[in-house]
Order: sequence, then C-alpha cells, then structure tokens
Amino acid sequence: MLLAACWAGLGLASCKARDPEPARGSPTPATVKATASATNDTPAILAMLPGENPAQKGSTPPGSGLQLTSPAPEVEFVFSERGGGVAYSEQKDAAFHVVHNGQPGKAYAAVGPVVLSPDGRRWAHGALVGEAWRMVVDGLEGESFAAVQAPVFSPDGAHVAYQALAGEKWYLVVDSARSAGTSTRFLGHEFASDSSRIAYIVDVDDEQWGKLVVSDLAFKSPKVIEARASNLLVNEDRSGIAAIGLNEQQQRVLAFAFDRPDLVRRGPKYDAVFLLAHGPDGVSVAHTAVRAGKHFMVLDGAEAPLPPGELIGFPVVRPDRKAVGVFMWSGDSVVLRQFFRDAFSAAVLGSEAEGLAYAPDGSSCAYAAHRGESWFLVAGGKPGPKFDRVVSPKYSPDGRFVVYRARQNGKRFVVVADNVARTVRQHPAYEQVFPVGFTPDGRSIAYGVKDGPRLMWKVEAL
Amino acid sequence: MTQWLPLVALLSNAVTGHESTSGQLPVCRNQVVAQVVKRVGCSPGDIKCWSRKGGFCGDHVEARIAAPGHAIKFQLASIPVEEIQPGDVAHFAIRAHYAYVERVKKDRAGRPVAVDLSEFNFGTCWVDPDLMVTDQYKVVNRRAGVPVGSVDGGFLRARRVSP
Repeated sequence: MLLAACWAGLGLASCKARDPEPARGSPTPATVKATASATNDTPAILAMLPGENPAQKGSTPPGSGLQLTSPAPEVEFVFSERGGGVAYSEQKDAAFHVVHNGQPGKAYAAVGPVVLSPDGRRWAHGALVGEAWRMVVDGLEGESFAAVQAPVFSPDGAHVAYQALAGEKWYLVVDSARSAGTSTRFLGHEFASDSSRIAYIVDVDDEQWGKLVVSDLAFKSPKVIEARASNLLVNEDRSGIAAIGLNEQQQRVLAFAFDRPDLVRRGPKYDAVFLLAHGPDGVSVAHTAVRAGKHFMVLDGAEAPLPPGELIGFPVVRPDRKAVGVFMWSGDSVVLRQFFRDAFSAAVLGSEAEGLAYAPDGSSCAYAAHRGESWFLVAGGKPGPKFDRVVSPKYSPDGRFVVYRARQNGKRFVVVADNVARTVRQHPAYEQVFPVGFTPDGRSIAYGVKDGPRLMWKVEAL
Repeated sequence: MTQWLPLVALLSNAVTGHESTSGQLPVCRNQVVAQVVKRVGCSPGDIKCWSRKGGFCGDHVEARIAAPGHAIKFQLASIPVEEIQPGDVAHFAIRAHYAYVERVKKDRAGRPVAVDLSEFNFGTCWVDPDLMVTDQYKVVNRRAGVPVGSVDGGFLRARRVSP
C-alpha cells in the first residue's frame, strides 16, 4: 500500500505545466563546441597514462583524511569543457608535476589545482617554487607571491585571473595586471562572456560581505556596483550577474547584465536571502528568503510562502519562468515542490532525490531518485531502470531525451532515455565517465572518459 | 543499545574541526595566512593539498587511534561518561570537532569529571574559511581539565573490526 501511494505520488511529481503557452527565453541546456578531433563514436585520445599502477600515481583524494583502510591514491582528471584537453597532477617521489595532454611539466614541491581553458589548449596551476608560490600558465612561471589561488581562464581562453597574496594584501591578477590590494580578501571572480570584463567581491569582512565590483581586465576603471554584497553568481552564458546586497540590515537580490552594470535590478527587501539561482534563460533569478519570521520562495520578485521543511539543493527555475521546483524534506520523506504556476507538492520515491531538471518547454521534469540499494531516473513521472548510482540528468535541447550518467557493478556509462525514463541507448562502459554535454546541433553528446590508460573525449550520437 | 558507526563515516562529517562555528571565528590576518601557507605548503583553496597534509582534527584522532596508512578498520560507538578512558574520542557537537582523550580526571567517587585532550586545527581564526583550515592546522593543541559536561557530543570509543 505504501509503495502504491509513493508511486501515485510520483505520478503527480511530473512537473506538468498546464499552461499551453510556449516557453519564453532560450531554455537550452549547456552545449559543447567540440574542439577535439572526435567524431561520432570515434573518440579522440587526449592522453595515455604511462604504467597503470595506481599505487604509484597521484595523491590522496580530497576528503576526510580519515582513510584508515588506506585506499589506493587516485588522480583527479580535468577535462576542458569543449573537449580539447585533459590535465592532472601526479606525484613522483617528493615532487609533483602537472601533465597536460600527456605532456608532463616541470616538477615542483607542490602544485595547486589545475584548470584548463575552455578549448583545452591552455592550462594553469599554482606551484611552489622555492618558498614562494607562482601561477604557472602553459608551463611559464609567473610572479612570486606568498600564496596564489583560484585560477580561471576567460571564456575565449586568452586571459587567466587568479588571487595572489603579497605582503599583507590579496590582489586579483589578470595576466600581468593587478587590482588594488585588499587587507582582507576576495570572494570569487568571474569573467564576462566576451572576456572583456571581470566581476569580483573585494574587501570581504568576516560575515562574507564586500564590495561588488565590475572592472575592465586592466583594472583601470573598476566600478563599485554595491558597497556590501555577497554570493556572486553568474548565469550559464556569463551574460548576467546576480548577488545578494546588504543595506541597513536588510538583504535583497541584485541582478544586472554584465555589459550594463549601470542598470541594476533590485528585488524586495528581506531579513535574509538564501539559495540564489539563475533560471535557464539567464535573466530570471530564484531564491529563498525570510522576512519577519516568514519564509518565502521568490522568483523575480514574486513571493510564494515556503512551507516548513529543509530544502535539498537549490531551487530550479522552470524554463518558462513561471514556476520554481525544489526538493524538500517533509517529515521523514522527500517531496518535490513546485511553486507559483501549477503549484504542487508530491512525494518522490525513496530516501533521496537530486538533480532536478526541467524539459526545455517546461512540460515535464526529471531527477535521480534513490530507493533501497538502487538509484534510478525519474522522467515524466515514470521510473527508469535501477542502477547502483544515477547522477546528473539533462534534457536534450529538443526535449525528447534525458541523458544521465550511471554506475552498475563498478562500470560507469552514459544512458540516453526518452522523456518517460525508458532507456533508448546505453553507451559503452568505462572506468571513469565525466560530465556530459550536448553538441550545438543537439544530436550528439560529448564527454570525457578514462578507459584504462587512455583519457579520451567521446562524441556519440544520441 | 549502542549504535555502531564506522569511524570514517562518523568523523568525515566533521573532519576539519569547526564546521558549525564557521561564523564565529574571524578570518585570519593576511600575515597569518601567509605564515600558515608557508608552514604547511598548501595554498588556500587547494582541498587536495590540505587533505593530504593531514592537519585536520580527524587526522589527529586517526593518528592517535591507529597508525595511519595501516589497513585497519575501526568503528566508533558512543560510551557513557562513566566509562571514559584514555584513548577515547571527545565529540564537540556544536563545534563539530573531535579531540583525543589523553587523560581522565575523576572525583572521589571515581566518576569522570574532566578530561585532558589533544587535538589538531583548534584555531583562533580562519586561514581558509571555505575549507575550514585554521591557524592551528596540524598544530597539536592540548587542553587540560576540560569538564566532561562541556563535551556536548559525548564520548566515543574506537573498536577494531578487521585486521
């Protein structure tokens, strides 16, 4: 009976939009412009790992540092978003070096996290040289600092920004240009889509509030957008920025286009704002908020009461910008709640659910659900086949398919399902499978894999 | 009835020492940040490096309970205050912090009243607030005479469950 009730509830949790009006905006999932030479079902081998002996590779993975059972060290591979490169750092004896597309770089006493340009051709990482840290870009060592962190390439791959500590001040460095220093710290930095500007929060205090600034890359004309801001968030195409502003103990959401920082949209005032999220159109903004003890889900300034219960993950804006979905704990079960248009609350299966995604037209949704020992996709209110793990469901640009990664008996693979979770194609299994994107024509998917010693970029037809 | 939990699972929720007090510690002055970066050899933001260097509170507890790197599995279970002994683990729930019990001080009736503790990462400021690295990362702090009542998460004991 309980099971039947759950399935009935799941049927309701299908994100159905009753509004027949076509979706506005451009609700397209992320696409990858493949720069690797892979063609459909012909993988591009980006690198070969010499001597597949896990005991000699890499360093302890991030995590607890409590591995009493001393698992084999793992190497973290970084694929570029367009597939032209892969990089990782490995340890040999007491030295570390970064390997980019199979080419090992100089050995250092320590190296920081590696980042790649979107096309994968360039790479950057911090490195300990003597007693100083330098940002190493394409193998060339930059200026000496007491610390460097958070390197990021501009979307065009031409620039690298990072934070650097010199003396008692942190600086934001773009290529060879330095911002004014701060005796406190920075809180994030983000390039604009055209790679001509950078946004950041500086002079951050202990409560995580600082000045929100948009600047040219030479820091000749930085513009303070908000004196006290936090939670800098750029949209998917890097055309828009959202943040939380603080003024006289009241918080509100700020949103503006990267190229028009003079036109800031300011939302209603609250006692506190949480869980900021851009909609897929890159303009709409959803978040939760508290005012006078009352909790709200907020979408572009419109409020809906938020019932008691802990939110699981961030709110997800439906592509038509008329509804927001989020998972919540309700008692001891997980429910999918949709606010505003077509509001509903429906139980999901099992003890966990994650990865909520709406179809491009907003007519249905998909997510990964967990029950018992198994995970499965739920799409259009219907469950898919069970696996040991299911993650990251994404709709194809035309909304006909849902693509997700799965693991079964230690094998990892990509599954293409239809919009009611029936498997259309299960792609080959690999040792590791990295996040999946769609090619611009929407007909293929592209992703990195580790297949034994081979690190490959695959482009496969849906 | 005692609820047995794997040591890793139990401690991994609070391995750094200060998760739930992140808003209470100030961020370190940049001079202190530079000193800790130099001492440890990790730059802020590098979770792999800070994890590898083993300076979080859970790392100290692990090191004291078992020689790190040995393929030995342990489980931790809650124990009543009356049974505390050296080698147990003090759990500070509000601070999400763990410390190793070095000594137990008892009253005339033999009831434990205070403990001497050793711990990592019991700092005064954040070097990296996101990664919960404090100025006392990988520095052994010793506290004597900590009242058992102030150990709000209670005490745990590690038991070996496999060779």
